[in-house]
Amino acid sequence: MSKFDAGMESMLDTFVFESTELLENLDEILMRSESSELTADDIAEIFRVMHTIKGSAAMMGLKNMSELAHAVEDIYFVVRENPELEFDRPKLYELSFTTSDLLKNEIENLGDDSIPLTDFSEFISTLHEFAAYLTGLSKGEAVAAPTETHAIFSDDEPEGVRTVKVKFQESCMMPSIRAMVLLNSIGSDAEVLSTVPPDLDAESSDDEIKAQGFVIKLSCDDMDAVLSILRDGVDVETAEEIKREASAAPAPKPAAPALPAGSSEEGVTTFLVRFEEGCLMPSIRAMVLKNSLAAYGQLVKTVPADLDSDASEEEIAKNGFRIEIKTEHAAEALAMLRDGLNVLSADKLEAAAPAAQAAPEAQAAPKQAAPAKKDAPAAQHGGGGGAAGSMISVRLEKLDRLLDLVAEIVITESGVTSSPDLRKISGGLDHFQKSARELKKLTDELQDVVMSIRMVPVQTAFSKMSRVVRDMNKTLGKNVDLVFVGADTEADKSVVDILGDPLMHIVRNAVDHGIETPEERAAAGKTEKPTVTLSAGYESGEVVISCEDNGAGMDPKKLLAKGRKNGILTKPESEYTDAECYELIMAAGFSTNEQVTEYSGRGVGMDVVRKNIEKVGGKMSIESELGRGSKFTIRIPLSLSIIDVLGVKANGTELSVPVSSVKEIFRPESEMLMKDPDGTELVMLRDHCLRVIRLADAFELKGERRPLEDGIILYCKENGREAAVFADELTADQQVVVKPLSILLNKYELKSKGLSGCSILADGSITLITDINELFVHNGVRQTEAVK
Amino acid sequence: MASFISGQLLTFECDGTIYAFDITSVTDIIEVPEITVLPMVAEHILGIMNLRGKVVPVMDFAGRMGFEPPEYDMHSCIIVVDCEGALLGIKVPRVIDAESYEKSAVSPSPVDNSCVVGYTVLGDRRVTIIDCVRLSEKNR
Repeated sequence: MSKFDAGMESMLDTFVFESTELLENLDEILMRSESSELTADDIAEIFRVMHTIKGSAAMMGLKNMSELAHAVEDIYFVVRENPELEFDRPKLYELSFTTSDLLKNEIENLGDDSIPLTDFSEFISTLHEFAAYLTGLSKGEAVAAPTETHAIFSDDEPEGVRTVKVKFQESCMMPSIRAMVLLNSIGSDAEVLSTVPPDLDAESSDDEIKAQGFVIKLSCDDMDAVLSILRDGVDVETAEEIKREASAAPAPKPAAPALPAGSSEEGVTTFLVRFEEGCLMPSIRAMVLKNSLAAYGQLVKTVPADLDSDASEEEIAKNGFRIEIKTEHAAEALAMLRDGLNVLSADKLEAAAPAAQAAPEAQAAPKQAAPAKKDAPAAQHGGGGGAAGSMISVRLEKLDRLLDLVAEIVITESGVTSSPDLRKISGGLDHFQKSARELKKLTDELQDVVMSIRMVPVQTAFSKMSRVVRDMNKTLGKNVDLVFVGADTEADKSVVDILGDPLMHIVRNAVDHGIETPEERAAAGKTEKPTVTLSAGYESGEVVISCEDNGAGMDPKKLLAKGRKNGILTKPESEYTDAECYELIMAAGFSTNEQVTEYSGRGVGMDVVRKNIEKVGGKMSIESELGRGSKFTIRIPLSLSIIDVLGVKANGTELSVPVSSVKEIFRPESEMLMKDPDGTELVMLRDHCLRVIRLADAFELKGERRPLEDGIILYCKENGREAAVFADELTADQQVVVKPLSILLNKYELKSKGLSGCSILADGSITLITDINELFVHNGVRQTEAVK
Repeated sequence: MASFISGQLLTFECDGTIYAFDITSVTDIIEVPEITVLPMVAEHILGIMNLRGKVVPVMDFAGRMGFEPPEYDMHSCIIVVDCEGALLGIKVPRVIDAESYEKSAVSPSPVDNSCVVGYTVLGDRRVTIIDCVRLSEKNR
């Protein structure tokens, strides 16, 4: 069986997306407020998050999640109502974080039917205990407040005022709220004059109601109807009229409570659905049923009509949910209704005499009380996401498709405007040319806009790290500060998504291995606070993300020794530069921490990190200073798919070199050229002696060997390696959409030979894109300087 | 029930022999477009072509089978096949037809790992059926 309500599959994505976002938001608030102050706004926001999750989980039919959220909501309710309350805050945070984790985990597993829904009841009871503890505390506080019993009967009570006493069940969580709901629901049948306790918002009202019941003074015509409404209320145990001994109350006028009857309209079938008592949000369940019913026929009317209103909740709980539908498949529809989640009973109502038809209308009446109540949650929502109305979330695949299409349009457009057929047309093409220019402008703009849609701030990847550091601080006791710099830097969504895991590894490493224990820091005489700084920024078309710690730094000698022990050294130890020593930690099977900890030390971290980053065209480098700290830098192209390239020709073949790799372009003069005794061609650029790498040779392109003076040299630098790349001529400077080479060509290992992919140009021809770093590595260009 | 299963073959001629792909693996038959030469690959990989915005590698069938280079003319074309999700263009001297065949009438090739699935007879001609995934040298 599916985990969630049938018919809600289409909502799953939205639910997962929204809940994940809410939980991230929750984490952020918790993180921020844990170290400072839990403001009223924060509490309201947490409350809102939990409320929304409760609601949407209930809508999906995920009862366990909804109950869990409800339990947390209860806790924050107490906290919100008692701002002065002193309580066990660490416990509150621990519970909140655990809840967030449990919910996240559950959401992650939603799509997998093989993993059953988790039973949270144990944890929920822990939450309830805590809520009870908080309530207990708040009671203690409330002692000071006046809790004296209000006299039920005052002496100057006018005649015609009747008194009703409602007692709630022992288990009722918040009788004051239930009481408020009751007041609303009798609003149409009676005029409420006063209540005891008078102020249902007051702290003490809950206890007072629990102790003495809820007393309503009202004037009404039909006491029985009022009483029956009250008795039908949720958690209501008894509701009865009480009278002052002395005065005799007038006898209640007889009026039979309206029995539900079906619609008498021809062809219309009426159903009455009642939900289980435990059903959290019957109005949502009702909406789901209503939507499913649409398949069986034409809906005429539902009671209550407005399922969005808060009053509908109570009304459904009380009177059931009434549906009138024009259908020829009444039996099937009824069966469907009975199968619905949380449905207690579903019955077909027979048509009754027209007179009885007024009944449903009357039932709908309590709705009038709704608007006032509705305002409150609306305001809360407004505070949380002011921009919500102007935002829309879109599946990334759709955007990818859009981006592809735009790229195709740009290509096709240039195919049309430069069609060879145009040349055959004699006479002026002025109008055509003008329109073509307009079109080009528009398509260029379109491309820019589509690209910008995909840009998101790296903040999303960063903020997840706060949680990581917070958890590690708790267990490792290092009390590390996490500082963000430039978190509003924007990058392609896919880039930001990819950053998540590598950043996690790096930050964990920094806290676990990098930062020393407080004792070690004291011994080293370090007075500054242990800090991990995450910064982001742009640099020549790339996003540069770095993670810097002010911890112990790395000792190249230790790294070498460790590398030797693990047998991962590839050349004599004396030849390793410091930079290369640091690179060792990114080699497979390397871990410098003596002890494997919970967070790191399995020795699989950094090499996986590097591979993942390289897979998307990024680079990673490490700097470190012993005793001062280390810095890990990740460079990733702004967008994964579009890059700036220089088009060059080598022996007739079109190649593209990423602009980000090229430092300088020049035409070599003969006095700059040299040859070393082995015949290797060299070029002197100012005081630099560079090796010449002919693209034609490197890529085994057949053709005549051109003298260097006749071509052009691209002075390229990648990852600490530099060389002069020689090509015949420079042909273009353009932006291209990178496409990987077909997997059918994998066996030729073109990527490691320096061809990273290809791209279709505006005229439909294909250019090959070079990867200068791989080209240098493959052709044995040495690393001449530490990677920055 | 294998005897009743039949399908269609796309037959083509190369080096005087008739070869065929099962038509379910063929996605396009196109004129020979401009092919961008790819360096550092085997000789029978002619390069890559632009198939409606997709970059597809092109293989020379004769070269792959180790035949003498055939004469290509205006009848030559590229058969695009789907090799488990990856497209591959195969340049052949000429395509003959799409013809029905009975799978039961195919005698499987006794050679392991051959790119030949089996042999069958259509009319009076022997047809060699080629497995395009094997032909593509995928996973190797």
